[in-house]
Amino acid sequence: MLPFIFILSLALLISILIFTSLSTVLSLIYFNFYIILNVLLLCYFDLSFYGIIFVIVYIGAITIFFIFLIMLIDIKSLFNFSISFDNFLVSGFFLFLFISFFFILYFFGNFYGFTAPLIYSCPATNDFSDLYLENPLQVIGYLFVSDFLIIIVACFLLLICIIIIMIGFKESEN
Amino acid sequence: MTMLLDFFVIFFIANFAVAVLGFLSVRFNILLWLISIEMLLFSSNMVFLFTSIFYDDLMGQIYALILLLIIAGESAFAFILLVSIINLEKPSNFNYVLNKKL
Repeated sequence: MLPFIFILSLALLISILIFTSLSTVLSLIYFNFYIILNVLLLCYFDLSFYGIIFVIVYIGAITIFFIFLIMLIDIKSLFNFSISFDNFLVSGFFLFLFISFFFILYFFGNFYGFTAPLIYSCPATNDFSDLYLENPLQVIGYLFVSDFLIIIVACFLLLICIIIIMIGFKESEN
Repeated sequence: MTMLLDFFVIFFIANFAVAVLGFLSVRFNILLWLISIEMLLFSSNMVFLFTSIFYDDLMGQIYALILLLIIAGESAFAFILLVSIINLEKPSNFNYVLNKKL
């Protein structure tokens, strides 16, 4: 229980620091820390697949979007604060806590013997008797192409429409 | 087990509340508004995932993946709007997009 309290209280503190930081770049860094701390929880509940997806989407895509925006705008207006040792002290302290957490996990093993459930069930389609699905990811993939196909196709069409709107915006500006 | 789930849900509701308060408190900083929206959706996504773990149910994970697609689309759409604003506005008026001190 104690590591959970440690991770979640740290995530809550970082989420407060996102909105109280002096610069938008620092708030982006705190946002990345917030995502990584929550991804650690997912990895210790045997959901490392979702953790990897969250890292790819949030840190690999959304943060890069924001960094592109910051690069498009005048960067000098962002760094109003004076760069000194005090500004990096807080972020260095959090980085120290973050790295020390890995050492705690290395020495104490898992979270006091807690194990996530290995057998998942789904109320939508309980009958997988004719299929050989032993992994929860296989069940999710089967559900995506069977029951949730319309929703997934709608989401893909939404993303394609966004790309077309983006091209339209650029063409209208030119 | 349910006590641990309550613990997680309370913490993610607290994260949700922090994101809402950040959205309301920060003024004229569009990037922080976007980050607060991402935090709102991320905390709800984590609640979906943890309830799916503790209730031994796959539906929460499926809805979490669908919500993740919506989050990616939302951030892409916000990126388009902000790029169009930046291209239309004069360079001297960029401060209202990112600067807190107006």
